[in-house]
Amino acid sequence: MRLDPNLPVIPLRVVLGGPSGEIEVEMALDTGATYAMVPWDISQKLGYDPAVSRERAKLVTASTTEIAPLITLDYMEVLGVRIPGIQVACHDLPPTSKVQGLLGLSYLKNCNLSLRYKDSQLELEDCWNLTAGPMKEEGLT
Amino acid sequence: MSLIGELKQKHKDEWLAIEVTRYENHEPVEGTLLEHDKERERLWQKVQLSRGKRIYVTYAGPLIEEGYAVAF
Repeated sequence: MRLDPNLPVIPLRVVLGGPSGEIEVEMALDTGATYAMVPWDISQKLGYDPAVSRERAKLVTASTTEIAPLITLDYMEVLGVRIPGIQVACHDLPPTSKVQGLLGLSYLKNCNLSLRYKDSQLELEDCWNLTAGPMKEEGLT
Repeated sequence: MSLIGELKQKHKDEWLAIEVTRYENHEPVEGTLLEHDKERERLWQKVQLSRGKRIYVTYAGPLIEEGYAVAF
């Protein structure tokens, strides 16, 4: 995928799958986030209820520590690479941000990620589903 | 069906919900506009999901407002 060095974030289109269907949104790549982060309203639209989730994560942000519910999506898909059973934190981003979530390590740790700004390229390859073995689609950029 | 670039030009600075009908290199290029609204929350209230249908929800403008830097 081509990187735009002039953007203040690295936006990636991410498909989120849940019991009610699937949604595609732009999320910001965040290698500093333990979990992918999805707003409450999107997780509810996908058919989850974060309020009743028994799992919680303490999120250390740049300015504070907050507690957010964790849910496990049916799957997440980035650049055609679908990985099942991704745990995400339900937490809203500020309204000034038009990206609708963060693509954090709970997804990224399943793949090799290369950021090559000099070549304006982002590569996601050799994806490995930690529970079910190698993914079929590899080497997608 | 419309090109998604054209939909974003027509509804500049609005939130769009699009049923995508064509992708090129994993990029949505064509689709049917289902809903549009200036307010994100109002748009999401109108979005109806169903199995087997993928809805692309996007903002027709800069993802980060001009003059802002980001630290999540």
